[in-house]
Amino acid sequence: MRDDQRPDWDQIVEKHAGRVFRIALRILGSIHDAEDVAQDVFVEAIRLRGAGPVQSWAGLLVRLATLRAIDRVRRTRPTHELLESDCVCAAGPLEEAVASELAQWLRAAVGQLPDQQAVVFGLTYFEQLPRDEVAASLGISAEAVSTALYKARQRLMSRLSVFDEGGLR
Amino acid sequence: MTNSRDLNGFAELEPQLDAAVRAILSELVPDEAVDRVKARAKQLATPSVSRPTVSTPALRRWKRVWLVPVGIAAALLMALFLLPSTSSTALADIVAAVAGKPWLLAKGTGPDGEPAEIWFSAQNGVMAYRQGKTAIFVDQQQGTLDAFGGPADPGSVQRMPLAHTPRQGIEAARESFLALLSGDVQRAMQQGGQRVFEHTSKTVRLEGREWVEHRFMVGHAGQEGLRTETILRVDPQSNLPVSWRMRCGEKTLLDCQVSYPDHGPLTIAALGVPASAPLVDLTPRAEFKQILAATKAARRRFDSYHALVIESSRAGRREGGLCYQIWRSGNRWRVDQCRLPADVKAPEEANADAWWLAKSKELRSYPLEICDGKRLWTFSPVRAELGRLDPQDPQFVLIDSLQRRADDLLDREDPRSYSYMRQMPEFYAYEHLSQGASFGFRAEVRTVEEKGRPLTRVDIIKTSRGRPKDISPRRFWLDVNRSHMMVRKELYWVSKPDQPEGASEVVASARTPQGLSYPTTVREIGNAISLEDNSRSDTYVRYYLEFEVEIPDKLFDGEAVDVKKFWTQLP
Repeated sequence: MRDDQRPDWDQIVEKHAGRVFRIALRILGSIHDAEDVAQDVFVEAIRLRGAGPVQSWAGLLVRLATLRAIDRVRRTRPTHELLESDCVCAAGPLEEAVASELAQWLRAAVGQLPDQQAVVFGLTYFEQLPRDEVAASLGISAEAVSTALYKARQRLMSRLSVFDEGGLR
Repeated sequence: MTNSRDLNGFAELEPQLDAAVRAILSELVPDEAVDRVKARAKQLATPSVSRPTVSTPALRRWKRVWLVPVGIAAALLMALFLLPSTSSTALADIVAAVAGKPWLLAKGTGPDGEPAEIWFSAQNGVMAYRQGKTAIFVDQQQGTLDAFGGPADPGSVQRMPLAHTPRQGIEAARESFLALLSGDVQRAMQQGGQRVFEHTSKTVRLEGREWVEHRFMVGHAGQEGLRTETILRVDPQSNLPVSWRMRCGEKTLLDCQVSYPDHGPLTIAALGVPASAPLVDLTPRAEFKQILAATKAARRRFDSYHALVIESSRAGRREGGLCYQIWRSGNRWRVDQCRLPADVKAPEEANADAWWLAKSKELRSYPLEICDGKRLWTFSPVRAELGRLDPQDPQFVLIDSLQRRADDLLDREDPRSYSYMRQMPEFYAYEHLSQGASFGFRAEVRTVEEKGRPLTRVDIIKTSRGRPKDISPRRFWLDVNRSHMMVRKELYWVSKPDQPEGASEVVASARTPQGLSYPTTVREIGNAISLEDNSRSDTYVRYYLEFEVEIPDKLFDGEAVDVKKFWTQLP
């Protein structure tokens, strides 16, 4: 079924909910927050659906999920709330602790990137989408994806421990 | 065709960055959560559903276990009592009739169709609930709530202080309930935050006689989807309810017949709880009560102020960072997000406090949270489009409008910010410490000496082996000589109770004109991690406060914010 044929809502949800939730979870690291974001994304999507045909549900939902999750990261960082039940890791205790710290750092740092860089970075590395698919989801050229990705990595590496430069947010 | 990993440049990703990405990718995505997302999203297509109730990871489910019965009881009492006295003399008669009976017993089925019973006695100040293996006993005279069958430790009775039961949903019900037991209807309405939105009555004829049916819609403003419908069938001769049904949407919460026995339960044991069940007493001891009272008083009495609050990873007071502007006046506050360019620094020769406060007058800001003492508004920026920068300030993205949400304050006596407890100095300095009274946790208080100074240390200790896991053990140091200001706190994983996972401390403090201490610099220790060598660095939160300043009332009117023209403008 093509996306622009106004498919049944349940089918859209069934097809894309997993990815929407996964994107949000990768960015936020919290099951609860990711569920909330996923819900917001679908609320927003159903409104857009009412406004006219959607060319690509996959692109729309991926974009919304990434943006809304990054918005939430920016609003909630850093809280010092230790949500142990949110940390669902497969590794052992030591590895888990190290991984958790790294993950926490990266989430906060990605949340500080400019929108486009954050979205491109998230889709590329967290969702592991190929460049062309990232470009299609965001409605930008593949070259722009490469540029944003390069800048995002440069920025992340150059800032390392700097979480709050206070600029773009 | 190149594979996706090559395209993504994984192989070229810097080792530390690669490790961080892989750490995130190693986290499991629980199928049950995906299923919940799907189920809720599918409901959106149903026209009758506004926005499905957010729920239900195990964590939230257990909270609801406690919320439902207390909420039900409160809603009943709301329905019975919380109507304007002028609305119906018949209802006043019902209130009087119920209050004149030693006990009310509602017996039937509860939320899941299981047998349930609710006991209520205004004369004894008792409300009790039993469904399945769960029992709750509220004793207003003792100020305690006993719970059996909860997830914290299903085999024990957990005794909680009513005054410190956490969680907003329970707070609303609890406050209403307490006020009602005290006979203070007006306070119940204010405290509980619930309202009766609709009341109708009609006469029905059943089994050869007439009854009066009252229908109430009860809930919180702004949460239409969560309103409960209560139908009480009343005997017009005695004015006593004989049946009681409650629904929330399509879900039946309660369907009971009501009777009026002479005797009822005066302890949780009378609800069938095994005599062998140990009592875990989580009520705070006198010393902790005094600390709670002191910190609450400081929060409430804190001076009115205007502040610029800056978060930065740099130790110097001259550096900028994430920036907030805050106004507080009495029990009202407003938190704005400021647009502070990254390169702004206070000159070396300038007084940093005065310089930043003067700078605040130039900064553009928009509201994030407003509280007028009764309601709390939160605002979220809606971006114009991906990556579009603000032409007026090209370092920042363009915001198209704000999204506004309004909620009734659930606890007007002791309101708290939803999202900015760290940024508001009075909330950071005077912690609620309410986790000392959570299910499965207790508080221990001791006097310690650090650097020659006597401090009060409060340990929040987990007492059960089971849930909840989301509440972390904590340790607070309070300085009695500085109006009980918290000077340090440490947080722990439940699984590592001896190893602090996070900490923050007051580096510098000052006093308000009224003499209350507040932090001027807080260091959040090691909350930033270097990818190069895994070393940690700190975040500093700096509070620049001014007290002798005019604070316009209109700042605290969340409805007055134009979501399209949202930049804050002071007269």
